[in-house]
Amino acid sequence: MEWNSVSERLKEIIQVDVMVNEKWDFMATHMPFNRLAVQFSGRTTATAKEMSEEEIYQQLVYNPNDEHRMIIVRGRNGAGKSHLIRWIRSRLHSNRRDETLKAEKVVFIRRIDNSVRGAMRQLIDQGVVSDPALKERLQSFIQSCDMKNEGELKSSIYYNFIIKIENEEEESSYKTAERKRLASFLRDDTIMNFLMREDGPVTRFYELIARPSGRIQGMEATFKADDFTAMRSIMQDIQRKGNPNTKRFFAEVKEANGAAKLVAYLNRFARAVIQTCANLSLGDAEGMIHQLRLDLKREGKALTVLIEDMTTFTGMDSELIKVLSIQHGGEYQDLCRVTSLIGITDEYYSAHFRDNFQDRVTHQITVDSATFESEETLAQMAARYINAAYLTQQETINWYNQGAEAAKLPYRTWQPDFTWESVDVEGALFSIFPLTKKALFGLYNRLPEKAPRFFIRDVIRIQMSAWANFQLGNATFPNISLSALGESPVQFLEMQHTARFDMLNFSNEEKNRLRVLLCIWGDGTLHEVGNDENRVIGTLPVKYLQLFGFNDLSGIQSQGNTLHGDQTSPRKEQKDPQVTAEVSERTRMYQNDLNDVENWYQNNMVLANSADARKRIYDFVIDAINWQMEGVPAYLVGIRLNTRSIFIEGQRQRSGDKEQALIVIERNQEGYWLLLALTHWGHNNSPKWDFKDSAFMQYKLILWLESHKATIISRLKGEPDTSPMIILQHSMALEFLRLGITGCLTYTEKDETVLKKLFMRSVSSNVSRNDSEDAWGRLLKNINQKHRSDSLTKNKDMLIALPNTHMGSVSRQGEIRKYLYHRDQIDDAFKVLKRLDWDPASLLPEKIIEKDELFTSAARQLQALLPGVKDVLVDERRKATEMLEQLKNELGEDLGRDIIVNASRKMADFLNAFNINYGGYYPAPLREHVVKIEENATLLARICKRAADLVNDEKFSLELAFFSSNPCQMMKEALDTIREVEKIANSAVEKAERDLENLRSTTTTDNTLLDKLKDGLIELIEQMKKFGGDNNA
Amino acid sequence: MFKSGKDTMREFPTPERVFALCRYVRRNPCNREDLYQELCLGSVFGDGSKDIFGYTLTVAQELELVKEIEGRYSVTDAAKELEEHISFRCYSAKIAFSRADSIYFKTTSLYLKLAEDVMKCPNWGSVAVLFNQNGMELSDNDMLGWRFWTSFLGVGYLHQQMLIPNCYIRFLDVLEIQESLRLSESIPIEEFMLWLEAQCPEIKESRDGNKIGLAVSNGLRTLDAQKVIELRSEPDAYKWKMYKFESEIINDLSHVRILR
Repeated sequence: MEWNSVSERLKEIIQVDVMVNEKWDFMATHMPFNRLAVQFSGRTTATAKEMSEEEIYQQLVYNPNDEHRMIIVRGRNGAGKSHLIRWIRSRLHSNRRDETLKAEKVVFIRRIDNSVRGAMRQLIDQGVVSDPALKERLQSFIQSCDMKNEGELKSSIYYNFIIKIENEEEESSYKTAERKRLASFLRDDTIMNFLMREDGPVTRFYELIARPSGRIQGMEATFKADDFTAMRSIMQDIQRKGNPNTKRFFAEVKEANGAAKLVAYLNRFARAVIQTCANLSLGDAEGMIHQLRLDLKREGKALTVLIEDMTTFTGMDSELIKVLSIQHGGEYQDLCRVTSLIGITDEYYSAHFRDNFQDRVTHQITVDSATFESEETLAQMAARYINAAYLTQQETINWYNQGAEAAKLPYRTWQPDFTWESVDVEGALFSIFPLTKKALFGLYNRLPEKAPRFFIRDVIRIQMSAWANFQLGNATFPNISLSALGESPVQFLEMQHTARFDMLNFSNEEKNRLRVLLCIWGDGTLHEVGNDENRVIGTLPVKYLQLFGFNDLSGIQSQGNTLHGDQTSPRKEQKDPQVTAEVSERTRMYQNDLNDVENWYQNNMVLANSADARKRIYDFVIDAINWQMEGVPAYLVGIRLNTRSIFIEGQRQRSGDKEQALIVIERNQEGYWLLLALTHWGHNNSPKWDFKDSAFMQYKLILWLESHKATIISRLKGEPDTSPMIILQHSMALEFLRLGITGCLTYTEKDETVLKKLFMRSVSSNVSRNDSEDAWGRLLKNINQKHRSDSLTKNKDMLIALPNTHMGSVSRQGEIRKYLYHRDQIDDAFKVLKRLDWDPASLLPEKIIEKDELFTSAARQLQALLPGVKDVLVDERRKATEMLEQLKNELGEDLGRDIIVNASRKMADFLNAFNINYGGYYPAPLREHVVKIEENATLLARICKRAADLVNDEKFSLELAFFSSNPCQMMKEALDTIREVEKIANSAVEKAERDLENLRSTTTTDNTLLDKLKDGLIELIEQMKKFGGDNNA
Repeated sequence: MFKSGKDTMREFPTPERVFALCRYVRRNPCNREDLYQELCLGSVFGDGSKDIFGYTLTVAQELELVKEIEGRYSVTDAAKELEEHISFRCYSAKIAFSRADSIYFKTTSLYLKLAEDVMKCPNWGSVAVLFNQNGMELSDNDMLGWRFWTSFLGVGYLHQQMLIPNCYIRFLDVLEIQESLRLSESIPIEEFMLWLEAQCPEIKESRDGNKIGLAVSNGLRTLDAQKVIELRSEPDAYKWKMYKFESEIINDLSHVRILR
């Protein structure tokens, strides 16, 4: 076989953008239309009759009785309308020696380049245009299209719309002022660039008028609402640069209603603009055909007009329809009879053929691609193309020239040394090697648009080209590109076959091709039957697979009675009619989810339904790992593990998320099976492990779990940075600090009471700190701020919950009501902290913890709080030292209880004497303060002693506990009282001395009284001096 | 839970609680009240947890980890098994499955036998019904208590309303401590399975002649995938049938090789 020639022939017989090929190739590949729906009226509701293409030709096209006919060939884009019209053209040609047809002028306008320019060129070439002036104008347009660049013509189209708007004289949906604003809006550079962009509406007009296009065949050139609502994307530019008119109009048309109104308005000018740009005048088309009909009538001839696609006549289509619909005879007896066959899409027909136009239509033929959708028909179509590719052009020409009889079509094939599928083509068997009926049917159903044109182009041509190139050593077979297979994943029918396939020792590229062969060419299984040379896997001969390099392949052999563990026969489900719709919807969602997983794994696509997938993974992992017995406290799991902590590869998650995640699902076989197993499990009505292959899925699930369990557990524990025990220590240390700062600790605290206070929900404190401006007060204020207070409350919750045992799923942890602790862990943490004198500094990481997470929260708070606490303790120690010194100054070195009691009593006696004996005055509370010193003497003496001890021996826990009860406050109160009494005494001395001095200088006769006064003042001074002055206490 | 003869399987004494209790007693032998006060922080939380404490202490005694002499509780000679979770698991399984007439043993054995039918059950209540149809007298609560221990001892994996049958952990534990079988040598399947059944007597009922049950098959396959053992199917050798998976090349076993 000349494979280069085959490759070339494929390009000739199946052209990519437009379905044009030579007439001999056309006939050699033509698939007869056997069941066409024909309506004998222009009404779409008219009854249809089934006819073959030959019957249509004989009864409708071949027209010996000179009956007027206007036949519309309708159907979806790509359904085969052009093909049918082209076949009729060929049929007319083959019958050209018929007397009737000798008097027939046949005008055949093809969709060669799908543009107005192409249509005009054909009209000129086929002698339809007889008016020299018109001919010159059309030629001028064709030439200008060739010469003008795309930008020029698009600008011309765009400005013609603006001109039409500005020159409209009638009142329309827009008033004059609004039209001015619209014109201004359209002249805005940003708007213009947007509408003239490559995939914008103006490009559609340009393509219809001048540019060959394969991409948008059959598409109408009109404005659509989306063209304007999509302008939201340029809103910022308009707001920044647009003038007020533009902004105002923009605000209107970016909304659906405004856009719809504008589109309806602009499309009114579409045909006129096309006519202008195509250099046509009103009446040109009508006049051209009218003249042709006059001329033909004079010559005694009739006219047959075949138009593959009416959209190529946009701008003059209405005139054409009108002139072609005029029935000869009567007042039009000078016109010849016309038979027209016009290809139109369904959408065009419903949009442009209103009632009066439908009345002019005599017949409608509906070409429905569904007639080609059977496996057998698709295979027959493919067989013709495969055969044509193997035939040389000369062989085809010879056959065509000999009458192109189907039964005499030569047959060529490439025959493998094993049997292969063939199909009946006009009574002969044609091989479809290397394709299978199932492959053709499957590939057809994977097409985004299911129509013969796309089947021929995107299935037959692509795969046969791959086959020829494979033979030439240039490519592999089959072609598995996205354009060849579409986006649907390629799946085995049986999950276990997928798993077996995954184990095959081929490269990924080879596996992808083999999967396509087995699942699309074959029956979607790995079932192996037959022996030696006749071995078949998945209905494909092993020799066939070997041809493409898949050697040493073994499938799954059936082993007779497979009752034990055989889950291959699907379980029968009882159907309840009431729930059928619900089941159907569930099945659809189920299949979507399965496809989603396949696309994620096979095609590297994003997992669309990742929220459900994460939930299922969470539900599985949370229960399947025995957390507490792996050393992870239930509380830690319950708080830390959630659907957000699951990272699935290939999703739109931040790159850092993978490192932070607790569970990472990688896009590999293990991840694939995990997702698939849980998808199957989750799609029961109430999820349970009762479905086909469930035992196998369970096995795969556990395999994934055991491969990843250690990593998940380690991550959850917070390793390597921390561990549950370290978290417990941090949490306990933080609570200890909180108790200390809030005055809940005492100096003489025993271990038992500390432990009790650590776990008690609330611990009351009698200590009040009035001075919020000192360092301790500021610290207290700081931790009482809401966010700090909340964090400390959470830490307390964690401390209570972390070492507790938990029953049931760790996903369900409410308020704790039962307590049975890992007491050994509590004791261990307590011992560690006690050994560190409750200073957790050495337990904290050196690096500052930035992120607030449960497992680092206590450490983070300690990092923030501990330095402040230590500063405060330094401040308290300084204050205590000062107080101590001052008290010593007042009371002497020994600050024992007796000294304090004695001092208190002396002060009381003094105040008493001062008041009674000397009439002195002092504030009433002062006496109470003096009495209180005696009452608290024991405590004050103890505080003074501890303060003295602590000054010499800095112990963190003792300091915190000591200063927790605010001892400086009591020392200060005592000192203040002593000083106030001193102050009173000193004042009294000063006054008495002044009085004495005055007395001595006074001359009086009664010296006895004077002396008595003098003695009294001297005694008072002596008494007062005992309390006033320096260190007199 | 684990004692011979008639019994119930309450849900309160979970493996974690028994482990926590035993670990405390190991360091602090004491009387019952002190044990409760210390373990449940009675001075903080009061007497609300006495029921779970009581059941937990009972199971610790059933597992012969804690003994009581004249009102004082202390650990038995098995205290070394409390060093870590795995040794505790291995030891607990050994004791729990040594009493063939205990309700726990019978339930586990039946579960392994009926694993495929259990999968069709939507909840634990219906599993109890299924088991009761097969000679047991179980309440829903019994099933709750049973599942905590069964998943811990490595016979299956909890998943929502079901226990996925797979003896991987159970087998891994007995393989880790075994000394009688030779490493790296092909052991005929019959010899291996009889040894395995001696170590794990609860699996015996799940076998039908030479057909190995689902949980055991999946356990062996998981061990093979984790490269703990190698499953072999040598031509012309006597074979036992595993639960059939079309995906797997080996469904009939002739030998097992212990790799580590």
